[in-house]
Amino acid sequence: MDFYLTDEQHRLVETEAGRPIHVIDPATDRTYVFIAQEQFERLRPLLSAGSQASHSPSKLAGAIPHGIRRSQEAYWRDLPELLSLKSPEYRWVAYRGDDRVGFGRTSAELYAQCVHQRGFKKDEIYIDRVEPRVLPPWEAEEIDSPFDHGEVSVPRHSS
Amino acid sequence: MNKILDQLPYSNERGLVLVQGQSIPVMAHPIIVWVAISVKDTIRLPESVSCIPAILDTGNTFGFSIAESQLIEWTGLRADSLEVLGPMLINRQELNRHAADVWLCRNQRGKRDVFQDEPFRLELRDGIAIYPSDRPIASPRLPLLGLRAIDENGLRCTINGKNRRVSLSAS
Repeated sequence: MDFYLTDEQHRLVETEAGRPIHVIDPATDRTYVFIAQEQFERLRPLLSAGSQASHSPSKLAGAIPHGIRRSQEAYWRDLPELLSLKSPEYRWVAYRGDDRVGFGRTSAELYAQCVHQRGFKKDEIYIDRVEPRVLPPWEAEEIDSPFDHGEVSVPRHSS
Repeated sequence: MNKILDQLPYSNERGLVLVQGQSIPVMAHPIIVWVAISVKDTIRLPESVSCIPAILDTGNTFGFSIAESQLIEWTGLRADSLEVLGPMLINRQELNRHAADVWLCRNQRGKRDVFQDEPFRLELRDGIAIYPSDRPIASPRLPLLGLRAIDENGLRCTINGKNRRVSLSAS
């Protein structure tokens, strides 16, 4: 199935000049990445290899609350600037949507400020370190864990 | 120096760890620490919160991970009560990271399962990984406290293989 870009979307593609564009489905909060056909062809072998991996698409994927996701995007957007501000008092930063709520020495201090003092909901704020990140906070990082794949010793919860 | 683990022993033999009336088998050599988990805006950990065992696993490159069944059975917390921060892949399995605080329970010097003083809050920017119960995903036998938790919190860890003791401190 083919979709045709609107004029506004066409302008966005031109502005981004080949960079991937994140497209969010507001019904599910799931993010899709829009790239050019030639970029996709270069990635196709990797995608084929990935489909043979043991993990299956999670029904939990994309379950980041909308408010947290918006706040994460603002944090990611501002991170280069934030890094230049880092100090002992500015180790952590809080966002609510597009707004930077403030900085703190600890995440606990910022959570208390956001939730208990200012009455923000926990699913609309995002608090992260003023430290570099390899990936945006909403993307999946791959982790190695050489643990023993033995049976979990606790009975499964039935709900 | 802020001592968190003080000469905490580990064993070169199989053993058991008792958690809420259940005896959990433990292989030889894992470093068993005790942790508590709370929702993210907890200012002070209530005394009623139980400590649960976890393996201090420096080969694990994440901060903290736990099976959903253990989270529910041992802490009374539900995964859906902890905000999702994002997905992640552990051993090619897709999980979610959730907002939560992990507290390391301080041990009495030289004793693994006897605690003292207030737990130490670990600040984990990526939250905790939860292995969901509703999918056939292999999960660790015990929760895992990975190297990132030590690294991110600037902790100093000493493992003394001569007397099988582990010490952990914050500056």
